[in-house]
Amino acid sequence: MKQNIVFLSCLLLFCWATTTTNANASEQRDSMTETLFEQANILHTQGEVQQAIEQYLRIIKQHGVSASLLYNLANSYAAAGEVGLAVLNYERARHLAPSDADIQGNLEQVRKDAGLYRDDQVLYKRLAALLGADQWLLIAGCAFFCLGGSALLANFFKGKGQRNLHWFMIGSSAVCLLTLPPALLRYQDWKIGVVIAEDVHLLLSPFADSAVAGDIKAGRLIQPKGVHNEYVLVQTETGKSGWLAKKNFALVTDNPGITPSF
Amino acid sequence: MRGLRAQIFLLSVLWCFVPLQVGAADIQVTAALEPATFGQDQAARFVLTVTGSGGAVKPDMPVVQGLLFTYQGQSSQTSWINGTTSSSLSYNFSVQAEKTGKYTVPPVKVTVQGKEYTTEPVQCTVLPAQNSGTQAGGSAAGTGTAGSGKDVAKSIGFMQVTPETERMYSGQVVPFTLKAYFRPDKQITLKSIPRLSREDFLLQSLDKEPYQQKERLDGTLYNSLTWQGTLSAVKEGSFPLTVEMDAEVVVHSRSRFQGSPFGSSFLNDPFFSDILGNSFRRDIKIISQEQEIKVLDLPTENRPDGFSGAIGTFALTVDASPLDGKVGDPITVKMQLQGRGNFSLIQAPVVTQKQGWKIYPTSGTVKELGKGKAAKLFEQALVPTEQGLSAVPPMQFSYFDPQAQKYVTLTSDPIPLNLQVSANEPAFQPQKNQVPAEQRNQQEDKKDGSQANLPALEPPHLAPLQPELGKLVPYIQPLYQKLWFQGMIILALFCLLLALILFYKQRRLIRDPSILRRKEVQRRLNEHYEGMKRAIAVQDQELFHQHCRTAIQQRAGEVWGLAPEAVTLADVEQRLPVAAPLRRVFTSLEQSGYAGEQLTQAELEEIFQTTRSELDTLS
Repeated sequence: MKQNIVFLSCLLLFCWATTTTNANASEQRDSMTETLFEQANILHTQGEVQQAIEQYLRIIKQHGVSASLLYNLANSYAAAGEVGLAVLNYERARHLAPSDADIQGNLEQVRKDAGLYRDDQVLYKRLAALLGADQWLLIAGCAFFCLGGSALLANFFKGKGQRNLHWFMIGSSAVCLLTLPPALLRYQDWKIGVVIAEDVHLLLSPFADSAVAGDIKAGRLIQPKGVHNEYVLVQTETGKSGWLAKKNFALVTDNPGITPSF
Repeated sequence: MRGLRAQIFLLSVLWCFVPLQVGAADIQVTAALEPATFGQDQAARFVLTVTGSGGAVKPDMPVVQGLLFTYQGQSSQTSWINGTTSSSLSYNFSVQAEKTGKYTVPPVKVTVQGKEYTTEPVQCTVLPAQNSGTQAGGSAAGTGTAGSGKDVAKSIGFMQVTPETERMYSGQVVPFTLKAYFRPDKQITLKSIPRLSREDFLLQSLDKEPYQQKERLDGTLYNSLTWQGTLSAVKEGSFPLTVEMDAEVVVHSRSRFQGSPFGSSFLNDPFFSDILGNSFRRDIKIISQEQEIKVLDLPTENRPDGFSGAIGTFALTVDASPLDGKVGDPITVKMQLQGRGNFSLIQAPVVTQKQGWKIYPTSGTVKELGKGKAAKLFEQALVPTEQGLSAVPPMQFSYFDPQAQKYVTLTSDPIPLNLQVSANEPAFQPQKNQVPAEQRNQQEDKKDGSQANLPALEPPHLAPLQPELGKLVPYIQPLYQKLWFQGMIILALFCLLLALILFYKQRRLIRDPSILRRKEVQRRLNEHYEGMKRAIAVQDQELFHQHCRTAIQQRAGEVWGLAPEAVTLADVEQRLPVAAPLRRVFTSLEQSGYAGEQLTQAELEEIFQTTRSELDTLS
């Protein structure tokens, strides 16, 4: 018995020590990341945008991404004239914080300044754009969870309580059905890529010496359709198709810490 | 006295015979049409007379193709002439004809005092409407012929369509004037707006409300209605142009009071006719006289490239604002085309120079200016995408002038543009974003890491940096890939599945309550089996007997549909064969209970096993 108590005490002590150590390490890491982030911001403010970009990228590689980090990185790219990379990182930041007005506003402004105009969206797409894909899906998921819970509870209630639960089930189902389509629609945006290189040509075939099908500006959104060696068949926002070298664009869902790739 | 009585009796009998005489008088049923010849625009009177009876069932008029019978009421007459009573009953109908020609009204069946009588067939002749136009107040235009004859024109009215030209091009919009003239003494109600009779032309526009006035033509006064409109032709060739319109005219029937001994002058007045129901409304169609129009195809020679089908005469004015923006700022270009022509079809002027401009689609609105003139205003957004643009490019519009019979191209002047250098221009050129020395010094002074100083370099149109790092995640991951979300969905699915199973289980129990009963019996049997085991272990025979008997009763009660307590040895003997082990067990239990017989542990064990196996298979 005594042995057991001693063993349990040692185990608890070990767990506490480990947790505390981890928490301290995490705190230290967070503090270090915050410091790096502030330094990058200061560099940007001082006009050292290239250094700021490097600093932001270092944080991303070592510690991961956040909406603010990607947004600031995009601002630095915009200040450095890298329209493609600016748009790419604004788009990435938008996935993490779909409702952030600064991200949305700066993205629109950078696109406008670069002459990257988009045609008016149809009404259903505008409605779907009110929330991000994750937000729509979260609502749908919660509604589905409520549906499951209320369906289960309805088996244990009788009379008025059961009727109320039935109404709750109907409401949950309706919310689930209404929010799922916009979620699916918005997730289509996660498959897009952004042209990151300047003066890029769309090619008629996936070879270096192919005829040119047209030009495409940096910052343009493209939809990959197929791959052949180092080239990807893409469709632009205007519906034009052509082959594009992999190095000339990056997918929005690529890990920002890694060199853009398809 | 006796003689007086006899006289009174005789008179009474005679008096009784009077109605019989009247009733037995010959019943005659006749039909007459007055007049037998009448105009298509008139109504005749059909009278069905029943003589010799005071009552008859109102007859149903037969259906005559082309004739319309309208019941007007009934009249009766009784007379006493030289001691003879005669009575007659007349049913009056007004008759109208849809077409001219000869008609025969077939025999009409009338039921009088339960007996059926039949009239003779009646013949009549209907004359064309214009032949009866001299009758005062009786003129109405017949469908398809109205407006073409001068007599009708004099009696009711007519319509004229006057296009601006008798020679036009396909696609050209030609103004026309439509006039409808009606005699003031006719009560006319328009039931439709004028429309083109044929499909060779398209009615482009027409006044909603006509202009009304009084006009005198050839010495006759008319109420005139005037519409202004435009039409266009769709194909080459010569086509007649006619316009038609539906109307309703009030027709006064004269025949009802024709034979009145009091004269007919005031009763035939339309005022009294209306009050007395001596008039009816009739639908007519007014068709204008044909007007031959020659339609030409547009010449293909010298047709400009930018020609998009505009025909007429136009003037172009172009305005743009703002003119002092930056690259990327939209400029609204307003283009107005004014004049006469097919405005609904014309498209916006085109931009002559597109290099360096982002051009958005146009929106156009047409404004009627009256007298065939109109203006169409187009708005178009142009966005300069390059530096160095000095003017909004000229706009070009081509049209065909039908009067000059040639194509004309209008070109606006370029509008000077003062395009400012974009404030963020350096920001979009790599390595050009170096901050001036003064600004750098100022910023170095503020190099204290304070977040308040962050927006210093931001271009004015971009939102500043965000000072908070926020929550870091390893990579961008959609919600559906996150474990907690997947767990939530799986949990929800599990709940749904469980709910479904419970729902079906409850429904099954509600439908089949025996399931519950079976379960309950099985539970009790298990309890008794345990009790029997315990009794064997402690050698408590009485307890063993009690459990064993109760177990048999429970199971037998369930299988045989009896209350367990009501199962007796008699039931067991009645339902189980003599050699059945369960019967033997139950019998021995009963006997040992009364006899106080002591059983060994092995025997009890055997009974237990036997009972259990038998109860499990009992059905």
